[in-house]
Amino acid sequence: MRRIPVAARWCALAAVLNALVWSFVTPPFEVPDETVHVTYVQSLAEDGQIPNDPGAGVFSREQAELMVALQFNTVVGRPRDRAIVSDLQEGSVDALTQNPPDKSHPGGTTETSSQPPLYYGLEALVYQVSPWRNLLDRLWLMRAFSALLAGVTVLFVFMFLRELLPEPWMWTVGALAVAFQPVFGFIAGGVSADNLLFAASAALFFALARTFNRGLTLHHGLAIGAALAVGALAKLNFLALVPGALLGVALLLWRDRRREGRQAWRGAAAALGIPALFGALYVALNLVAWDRSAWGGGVETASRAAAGEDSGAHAITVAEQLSYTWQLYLPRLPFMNDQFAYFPPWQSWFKGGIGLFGWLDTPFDGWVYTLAALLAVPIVVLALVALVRHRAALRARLLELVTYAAIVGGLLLSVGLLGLRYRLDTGSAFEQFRYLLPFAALYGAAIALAAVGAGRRLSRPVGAALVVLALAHGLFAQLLVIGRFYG
Amino acid sequence: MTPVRAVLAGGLLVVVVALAVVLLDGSPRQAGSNYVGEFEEAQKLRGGRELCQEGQVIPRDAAALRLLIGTYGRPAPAIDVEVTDADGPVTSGRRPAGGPEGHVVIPLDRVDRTVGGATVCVRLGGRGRNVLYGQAGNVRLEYLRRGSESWIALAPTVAHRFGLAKANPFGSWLLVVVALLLAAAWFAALRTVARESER
Repeated sequence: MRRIPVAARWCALAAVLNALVWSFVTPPFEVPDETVHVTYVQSLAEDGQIPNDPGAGVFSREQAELMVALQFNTVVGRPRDRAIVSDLQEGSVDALTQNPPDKSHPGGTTETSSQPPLYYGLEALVYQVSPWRNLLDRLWLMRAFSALLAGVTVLFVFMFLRELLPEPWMWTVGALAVAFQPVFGFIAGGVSADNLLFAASAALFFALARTFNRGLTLHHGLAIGAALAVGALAKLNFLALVPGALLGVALLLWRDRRREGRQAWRGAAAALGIPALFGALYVALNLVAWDRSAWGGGVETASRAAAGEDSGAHAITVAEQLSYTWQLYLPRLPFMNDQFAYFPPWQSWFKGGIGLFGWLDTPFDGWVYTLAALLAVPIVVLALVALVRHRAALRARLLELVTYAAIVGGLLLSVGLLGLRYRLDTGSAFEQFRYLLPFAALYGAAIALAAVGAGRRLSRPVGAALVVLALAHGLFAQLLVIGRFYG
Repeated sequence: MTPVRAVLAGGLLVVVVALAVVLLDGSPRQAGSNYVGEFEEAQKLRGGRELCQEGQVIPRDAAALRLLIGTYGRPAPAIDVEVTDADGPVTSGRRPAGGPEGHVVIPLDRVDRTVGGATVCVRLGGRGRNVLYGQAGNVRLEYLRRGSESWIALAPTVAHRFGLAKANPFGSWLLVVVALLLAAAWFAALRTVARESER
């Protein structure tokens, strides 16, 4: 703990407090997929099983009746309907919390069934140690655990920036920009495996940056391996980061094999061995304890989707896949078929990042996004100016940058690969801004760089202004959600 | 004052002003609804006929009812609304004929407490065909509070609603507790920025 700077602890504390605010602001189950995340936790906690029976019901009686009492199904997706507004309605919720119905889980398959169980296992412990015995109160305690993970994420973002940037104020500015990013805070205030994914991703960036700075040793290899293991067991999306991370380990080994000697080989072995060990344990648990396929179904399904092997489904050509993935992030080229009725870089990524809350049913008014775009332009320009000014430092970190680019490319590609299959199967858009939050560390770096780009005399005041902007952004997002559900 | 502290102070001032602008903005506010979606034609009703929906919750402070009505291009008919429960009349109101089809607002006598198990009856004037919108045969009933209110004026109501159906030992004070939590988060952030920027 002594190695963690005081400022990092303050930034983490701010992130935890802000996420706790979100945990109260958002009504129960109104964070995307929170219903099925909770059902996974309750199934593990009550029955020791991952819900994975295609023919069975999805929710325990307790959760199903609570959702009805909370009017969940009639509020979600309908921004003109509020959460419950009267004591009369709360009476039926109180009746459930005082005499909770059957908690045992029918074990039905949900969207989260194929996910690995680490986050859910930790939340199941929180569920078990809760002093309360009803799901509504336990739900908040589980949310509080997610808020703690937000603190962990911000702590790792701070430590990553410390490896990357020269001055302490820059680390603070970048970490706080992440802490108050409203979509990050909103997800951190809910029960969602994304929260452990974000923490593991930030830890991976930190471990890689530290290793690139100080050399591949056993300790640093252990840190990379631990981040990889936790991330891979937190959420399948993390697997898209793994190839880039492995490339990083290979580059580090190539660079350090002479200087560090055996240490480098040990470090690489640890970086690969820890995730392999925990992966094997996970496979064994799937096969022996949970009676499901080796990788829980998730990796298998994703692989089939990526390879276009789903039986009976529309086959996806390579050209379609490339066109879709390109247009997901960049303007369409003249020879491409239009893949979207909207412009994803604006609609999904920019507007989604500025704020889209609830189950994607609570946006800001349109003018807010325009204002945000006007503010974002100088921030991006300043960050680019900083990169150009410090290009010599960038050249010195080329291998590290190649690693980050491979990690980013892996995730972006995976969203493209899975997104088209999902859209063809369901007719719904797949992409959401939160899928990019594993890059929280890079987001923090970009904001800190924008301050640096303002020049030596103005950089610190601009950094302070960016933090105030982040605070204001978070505040008005919280007010938006309060207005939607309670106004 | 250092430049960083000046920026923080100036930034906070701008936030306070923006916050005041948002919180003082007046608009009609919802008292509640029957949670029926407005997805399809729910009931066809000729002028002179009455439609009643039972088992309704009428929220406290309801002072108007909003409906979506289709009239096949004619002006909206006169609409009478009567709400009763087991003890008798709860509230009533009337909207005169006129105005385009679409969302119409029928003023009601203000309801001063939430009423459960109520029956809401809607009687349409004139003689033509009309459609009321809702879902699965149920008409959407959306209740509005009286007039136009700012968020500041609505704050006690928001605080009450905010405290409902949560792990919450603070009742309606939960919103204040959450505001204090946020203030603590801001303090931690601003203190750290100020200190680190002046090192």
